[in-house]
Amino acid sequence: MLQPLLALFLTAALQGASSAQVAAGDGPRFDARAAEHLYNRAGFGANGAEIEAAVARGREATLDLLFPSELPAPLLRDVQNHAYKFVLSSEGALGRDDRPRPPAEDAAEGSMEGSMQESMDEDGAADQAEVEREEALRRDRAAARLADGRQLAEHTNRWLERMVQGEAALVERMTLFWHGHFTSSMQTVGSSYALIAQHELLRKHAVGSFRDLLAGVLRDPAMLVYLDNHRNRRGNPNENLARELLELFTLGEGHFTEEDVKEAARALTGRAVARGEYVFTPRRHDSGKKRILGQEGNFDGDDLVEILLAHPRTSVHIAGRLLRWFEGVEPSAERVEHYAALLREADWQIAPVLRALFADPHFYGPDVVGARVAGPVDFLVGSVRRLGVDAPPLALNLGARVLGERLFFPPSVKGWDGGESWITTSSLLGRGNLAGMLTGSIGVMELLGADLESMASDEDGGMQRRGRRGARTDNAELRELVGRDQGLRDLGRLGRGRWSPELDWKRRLADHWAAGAASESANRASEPGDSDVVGFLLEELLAIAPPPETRAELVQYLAEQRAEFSIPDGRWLTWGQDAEQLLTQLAHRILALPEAQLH
Amino acid sequence: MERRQLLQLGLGLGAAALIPGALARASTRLLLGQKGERRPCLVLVQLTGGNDGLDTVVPYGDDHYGRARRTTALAKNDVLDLDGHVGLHGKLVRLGAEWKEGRLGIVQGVGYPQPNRSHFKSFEIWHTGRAEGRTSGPGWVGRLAQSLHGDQAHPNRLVHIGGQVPYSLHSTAHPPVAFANPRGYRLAGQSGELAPTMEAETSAHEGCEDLPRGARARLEALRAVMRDAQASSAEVRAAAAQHQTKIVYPNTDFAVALSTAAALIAANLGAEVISVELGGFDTHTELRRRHDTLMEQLDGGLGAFLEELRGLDAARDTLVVVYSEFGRRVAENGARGTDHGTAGPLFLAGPRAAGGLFGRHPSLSELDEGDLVHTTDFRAVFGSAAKGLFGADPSQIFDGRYDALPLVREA
Repeated sequence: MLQPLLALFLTAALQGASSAQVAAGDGPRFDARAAEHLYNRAGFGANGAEIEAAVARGREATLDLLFPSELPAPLLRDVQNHAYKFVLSSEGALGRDDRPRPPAEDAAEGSMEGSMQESMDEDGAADQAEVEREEALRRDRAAARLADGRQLAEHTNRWLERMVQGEAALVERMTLFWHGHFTSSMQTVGSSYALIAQHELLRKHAVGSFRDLLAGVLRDPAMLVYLDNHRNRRGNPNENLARELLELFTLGEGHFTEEDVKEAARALTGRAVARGEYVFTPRRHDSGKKRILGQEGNFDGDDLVEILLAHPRTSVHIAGRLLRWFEGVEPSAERVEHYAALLREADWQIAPVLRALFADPHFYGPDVVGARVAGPVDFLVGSVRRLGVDAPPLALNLGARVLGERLFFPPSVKGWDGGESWITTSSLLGRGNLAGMLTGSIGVMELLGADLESMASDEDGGMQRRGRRGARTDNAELRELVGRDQGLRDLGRLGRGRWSPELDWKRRLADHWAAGAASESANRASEPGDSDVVGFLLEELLAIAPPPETRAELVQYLAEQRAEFSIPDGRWLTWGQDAEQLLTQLAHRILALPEAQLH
Repeated sequence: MERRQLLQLGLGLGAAALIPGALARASTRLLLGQKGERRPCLVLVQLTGGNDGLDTVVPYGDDHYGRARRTTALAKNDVLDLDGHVGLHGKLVRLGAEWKEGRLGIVQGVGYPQPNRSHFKSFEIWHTGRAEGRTSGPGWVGRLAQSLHGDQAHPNRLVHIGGQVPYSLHSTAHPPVAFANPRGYRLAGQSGELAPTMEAETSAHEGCEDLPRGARARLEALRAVMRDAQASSAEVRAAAAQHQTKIVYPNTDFAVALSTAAALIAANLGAEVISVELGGFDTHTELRRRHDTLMEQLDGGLGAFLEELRGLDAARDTLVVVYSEFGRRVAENGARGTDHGTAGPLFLAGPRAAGGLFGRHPSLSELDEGDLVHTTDFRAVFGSAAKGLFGADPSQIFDGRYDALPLVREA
């Protein structure tokens, strides 16, 4: 039953034909629960109206809308190559490591080396002109670095805005997937220009061809710098990119030998970066004979791509990662193999494979629905979408960072582990706190202020180099970003008072109550009671239906609070501002539940 | 009803409920269970990225070393001599002083058979003590806790201070708590603490049977974490707030994490394993400059920490172990760096460390495809530490038998 159905979707998608031809009754029932599940996984969650519209439209028409008909427009129009300005005097690569360290920078930070350096300068009676020149250089470099950080923050904000808007949500969700797969970190690359270019490459091919994506990544300046390939030369190979290419990007661990790594590294020699752009230097390329995965020839990087794609493990590895990403649970070997075969049959096109997945009954089954631990971005963007608030994207960016998902700063080349590893005792409390920020219950700086100092250690504990200099600069950049963001100032104690989002619970509750009046018995109360209110907010705010005990406890909580506020029973729609505030408090409490971390 | 009374108690101004009911009770229970009963504490310092062992415990007297590291070798004058053959990296000043006082243990050539050069796989092996890695079950620290306490969990027993929790602390029966900054480790409400969700008091599986089976399993796990979070965060914040020391720690994240560790030990919260991390050891390029900085950071943070521990009565039973996922190639690469390798040295320090040089330095002439051949299995080190410190049975933690090493001083 499953097989012919998948084949049908595959054919339809490959021919570019409208898949509306597929009978609407086929496959799993597309009710509100299924529609919400699809939006949770293929997008970033949905509100009640969106779910209703999707059900009315049907699954196929909803999928048609999810899959983009054209390539996504770049997030920023005019991307500046700031980093180049401050590595001018280096070898020409992008890496921070190449940047000369002016002594003044250390001195400014008051480190031990810095103060020693300072006194040495005094003793040496350095030439005044030289000192001034260095000071000017230091200022230029600092300005370029701040501008570069701003550009990346701006780009990240636009990306988060796209996620919240929900248009072409699947492209952004897949881009987030690739950002953890073909990942690079600003920490190492040190250039927003290169990272933004990489990100747009991932967006362009997000649901396109894995072959094109892989080939593009192996020419991507950010990746070449991140994994040291700009230092991979004939006679002096650097294995970093080759190893991760085999281990993480294609075959998976345990399916290649050390010899394959060495030989693959030789095939990639000569691929480097100059002034932020890709260059191939033939004299640095090792054109000799290589033996990779049992094949022999004078391979270069493009041959390597084909060798890796021809190896059955690559499709298995990618299919497994896609299933884990969208389903949030460990897939069976049979299903991985099945989707790997689809990927090969589709000649590495991603869209038809996802289309098949989103029609797969297992995807809508009890092992998968509600079983995925929402990542920080999933949780924050999803909460914003469900709350219907207009939160500043920088708040989401910093929030994700506090929770361990700092975009463009992955903890290692392996990306983020995801799943249950998102949840620690402190991240679970942090999620509740950030939910309070989104509902306007907690000032943003009350939260982020406390986290400012520890933030750096949250995400950079991985493979990247970082020292006290890194941490300081990081926070300077952060403070600068926070300080100039009007939206964030409105949100936090930097402004006066708290952010008060227009949650308008009473109106929403009234609409919901009125809509229900037509279908339900006429003799119900004229206003909703405590359990109706709790039911409504749970439905609005949670991606999964919570167990009855949770519901009962919230009803009890609400009744107790209502008594404290002296709001009479059954007057939710007509009581004043206190009712609105209490509903917001309830919303915060719901989003702080363990249930709110699943989707 | 008790819960209701607690909820009503602090409800001034109609603000969010303030009473940490379950939390107060949980803390009372913990305090009653733990106070006055000092447990040994193992502090694990992970050097992430593959610490270059030959550039840490330096075989300066070996000609092969100078030949393999043409641009990056340290000379005799650059190191603190240990035995006339090997010496500590020159930036390890405070660790060098510990050595001279007989308080630093160094195990040479630590690794495991069939070394894996992937950061991730190699860490999985170190963290689980098994070649299969994380598919084989909980981490070795989780197994240690299981062997000592069965299923009797206690929230602040296994603590990671930092971001990503190492898999070694992974355990379903003894889930670790984790935080980077004690001050931010709380559930905030509109005017203070948000009352713990009531379901923190309900059992993990209550009501879950109506959920789809995948969601049910996840929710039970999440509820358990929430309970631990609420119980542990108040204690941790209190410990950090009360912590006073004259010791000056360097201003690095690593050192700050260690001073937090000292606060937890001083407060006697019942933490038996505390994990911290120093990253950045993946020195494919510019080994000399980068590794010098890293050694300085390691020495600065660890040196201050050890000094504080010496003055703390509550730290009398503390042992510090410093490890990394692998060493690096013997020969340097074309970028004055070193690529992924195999065996490397481990450090043991703190009040319960027996000082001295243990194990044999691997041969620099008899290499396995350019890499060192390990002379001591890391499971022998962890197993001996667990036995010496906790009286644990290493065979309940690691498969196979490993020689016991006299790494731990008698209490």
